[in-house]
Amino acid sequence: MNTVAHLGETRLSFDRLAWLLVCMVLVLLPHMMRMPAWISLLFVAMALWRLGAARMRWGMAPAWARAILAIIGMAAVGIQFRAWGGQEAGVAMLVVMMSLKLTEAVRKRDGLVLIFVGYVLVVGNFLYSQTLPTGAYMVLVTWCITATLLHLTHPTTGIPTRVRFRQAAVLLLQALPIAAILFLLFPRVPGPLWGVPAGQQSVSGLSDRMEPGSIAQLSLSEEVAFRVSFDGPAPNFRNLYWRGPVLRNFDGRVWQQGDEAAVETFSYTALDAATHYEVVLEPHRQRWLFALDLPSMVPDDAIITRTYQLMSTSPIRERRQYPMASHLVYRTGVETSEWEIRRALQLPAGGNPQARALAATLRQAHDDPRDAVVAMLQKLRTDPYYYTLSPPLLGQNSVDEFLFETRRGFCEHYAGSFAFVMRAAGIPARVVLGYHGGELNPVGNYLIVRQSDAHAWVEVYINNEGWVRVDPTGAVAPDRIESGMNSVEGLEGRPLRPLRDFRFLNQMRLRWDDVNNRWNLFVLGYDRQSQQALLEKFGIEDADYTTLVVVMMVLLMIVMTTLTLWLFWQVRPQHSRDPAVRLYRKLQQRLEKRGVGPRRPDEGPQDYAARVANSHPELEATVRRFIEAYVRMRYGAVPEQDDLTTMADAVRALR
Amino acid sequence: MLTALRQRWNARTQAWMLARQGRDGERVEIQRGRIYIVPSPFGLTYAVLVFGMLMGALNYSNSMTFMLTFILGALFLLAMHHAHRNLLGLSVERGRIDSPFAGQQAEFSLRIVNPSAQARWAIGADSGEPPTWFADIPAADATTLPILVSAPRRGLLQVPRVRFYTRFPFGLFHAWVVLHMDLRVVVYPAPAKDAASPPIGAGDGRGALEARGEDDFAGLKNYRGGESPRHIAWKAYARGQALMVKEFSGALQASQWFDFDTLDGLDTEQRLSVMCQWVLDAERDGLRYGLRIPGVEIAPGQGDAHRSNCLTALAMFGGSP
Repeated sequence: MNTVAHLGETRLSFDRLAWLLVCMVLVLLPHMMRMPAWISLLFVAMALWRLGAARMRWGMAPAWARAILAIIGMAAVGIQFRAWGGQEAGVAMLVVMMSLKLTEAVRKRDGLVLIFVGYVLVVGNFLYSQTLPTGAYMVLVTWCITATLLHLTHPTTGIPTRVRFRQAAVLLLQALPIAAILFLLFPRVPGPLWGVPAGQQSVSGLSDRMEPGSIAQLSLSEEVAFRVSFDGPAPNFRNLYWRGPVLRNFDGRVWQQGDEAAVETFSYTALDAATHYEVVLEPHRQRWLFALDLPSMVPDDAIITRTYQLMSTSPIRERRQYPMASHLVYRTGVETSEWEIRRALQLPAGGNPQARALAATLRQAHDDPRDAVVAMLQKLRTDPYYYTLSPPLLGQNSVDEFLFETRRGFCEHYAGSFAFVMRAAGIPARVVLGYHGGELNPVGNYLIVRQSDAHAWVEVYINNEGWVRVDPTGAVAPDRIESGMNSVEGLEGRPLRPLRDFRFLNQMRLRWDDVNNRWNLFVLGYDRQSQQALLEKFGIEDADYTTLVVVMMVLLMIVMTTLTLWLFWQVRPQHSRDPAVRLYRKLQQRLEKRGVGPRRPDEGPQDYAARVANSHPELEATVRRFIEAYVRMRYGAVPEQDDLTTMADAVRALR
Repeated sequence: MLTALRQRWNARTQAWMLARQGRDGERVEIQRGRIYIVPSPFGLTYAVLVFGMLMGALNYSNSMTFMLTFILGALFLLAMHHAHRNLLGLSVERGRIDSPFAGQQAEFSLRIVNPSAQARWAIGADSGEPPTWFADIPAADATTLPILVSAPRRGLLQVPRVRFYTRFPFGLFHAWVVLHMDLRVVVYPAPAKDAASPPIGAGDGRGALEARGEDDFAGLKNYRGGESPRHIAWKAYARGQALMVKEFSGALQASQWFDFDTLDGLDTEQRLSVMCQWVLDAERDGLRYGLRIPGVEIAPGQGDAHRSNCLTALAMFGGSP
């Protein structure tokens, strides 16, 4: 079969246009969930119009109309985002321009511009999400765009759909080993080159203020706050207090963080062996680094404050991994600052009279502040207090209302009220925010701490003992502290969670979290340190950029050479599998050894035989016998059974 | 200025390639050493895009962007090898060539054989001037691509080189081979459409009177190659008989001489054009004709071979114009 020759084609055919639109829709789907609706509508309108124009043979829009549309589009993006640069406005602008480009896309080269925009929008997606599902989806999108690029750059009719998708897959798979070497060894420069614009998406996490209801709200989120892998066995659940911001200022309703300054040294007495672990913190756009109470070291690029808060030197915008060590049994340093004590006693001038009265009673009944603490805990334990995710709203005197009327609250109610009463009783107290507990994932042997594990507790200052942790929630809902939120029976306001309540699904969920954790650690978290660690495994210590580049080049050369040889081997000339044809070729080789000139491409078997008979009469009989069988087999209607044997015999006779 | 520079550059590279590769025969197998490759303008744009993406990945320390960037970069490298191998191992054979008339385009058919198990995509061929024809060649298959060369003047047209190229996949690289095959064709003079009829009694006048005599059917004889197909007895052939040609009675058979010297008042090229038209007309009308030009005399005859002899004589008159 002869294929047909075609002249080159520069027009963007309907088929190609349609596939371009498929690519765009695929790459835009995740963006559409984030972008203002009018941008999506603009794209859909332009796409439909362009398809219609191609089908119905409408003319293209005039240049002035396109220019006006472009100006309106740009202005609209500017008004919407109050900027033309930055991540979100940039993506929006790209989508608007791409939609408008559609109106003038008539040549194949216009299509190529759209292909480029498609690849850039894939990157745009990665700036928002790099999870495994996003990655998998983007593989699909990239495959589609690449296949369409093949289609567009074909000079004539294009490549059949299935063929080009297969070719694109083959090319992408061949690209994978090269890309992997580059990914592993291409020198990573730490830090941004020109600054990363802060995104405006909200992330859930603790804030530096606490008011009734703020943690209960956060508790509904199943988002991961951080993951921890311990060097040894995980500590007892009840001791898993992950220390976060310390709140010292109370205005009658809201607890807030004061100013915090770094300290060079921090004093404490360790009463157990240190627990070593590593934390992988999800970005929360604040500065806190979480560590078990009480942290005994400060990671790189971080400080510690007087109140034992670990803080990063800059807000955490990317996933952060840090090693930590803590002492779970400890005695803090004795407070040397009179000012610090005074701050821990500060209360608003008025309000919450009942609570103040309660404090006065406590104070009178107990000389030792420790007894006062125990008495207050006892009150919470014995009086009808309820631990609930949906507490009633509180008014002006929130502490009074909670302690004496509603008696229903979440940990922030208990911690806040407890600290208030302590202060009113003259015992220095402060609220500590953080997380408590976590879910041990047996699949990867690490602990998952979620926003739903957010917690608040209290620290009181006892003379000669230092700051002592008191957790009023434990008095009300001991299960919460012993084994976590999920074990609190009949907790009000908790949504149904089938993923946890069915054993099989729970197992799947943990496995999936483990995969994600590895993905985060080894793929997304891959950086300069990981590169050095990788090379160290192969005996290259302290690899600098030059070493990296040299190793990368050597590996690339090896892979490229192998790949190229394989590619060339694939296009080697094929020899027929037909045994008759093989024997015929063998016959020719043997005859050539005996001095017969090679068969010309246009020389048929009969002519060839005649020529042989002419020049080498002694071979005539053998060759004739072969050719007769050969012609009968290849062209005859009824080949005979033993033709192949005859041919093989003839060839053997020529040895 | 720029054009002149480019022309000089082209001439030099062409001379270099010819010196490097030598002349080719009727059949050429495309081997590694003769495939040239450079990035296309689109390839350079693509490289800039990938570089920009790399900067973005470094700035945002975004692992997935790194991965996409590196995959696109790897595709760039791969495209080079794929474009190269897309031509590798093909063989090109010279096919049929029909003589054109001056002012037309000569069409050389080149047959490309793909002996491998991989399909070859988007192979283009031309003589260095448009148009370029493209074909996809399935595995273990062959295709024929026309090479069109403009033939402005009569005489021998030698095509200095033909070019096969591909930008598959992705159009990022331009890989090409230059073949110096023996591609030549005689270009006939442009027929003078408005030429007057040949003068009756031109030449020695022999047979001039019978020239327009009625054709008397004399019988059938076996067809020999070169005879005019218009005299083939198709009806007899259709009845299953052998291929025969109708013969007309010799006495009445016109034979006419076309003489260069009778065309006064015209220059050489015009005379050749007029005579070319006469040959075509005579052949169309099934007449016998002979040709006299200075230095050449072709006895009266008929048929494709005769026509082509006559036209070639006209084309080659005086060496070349």
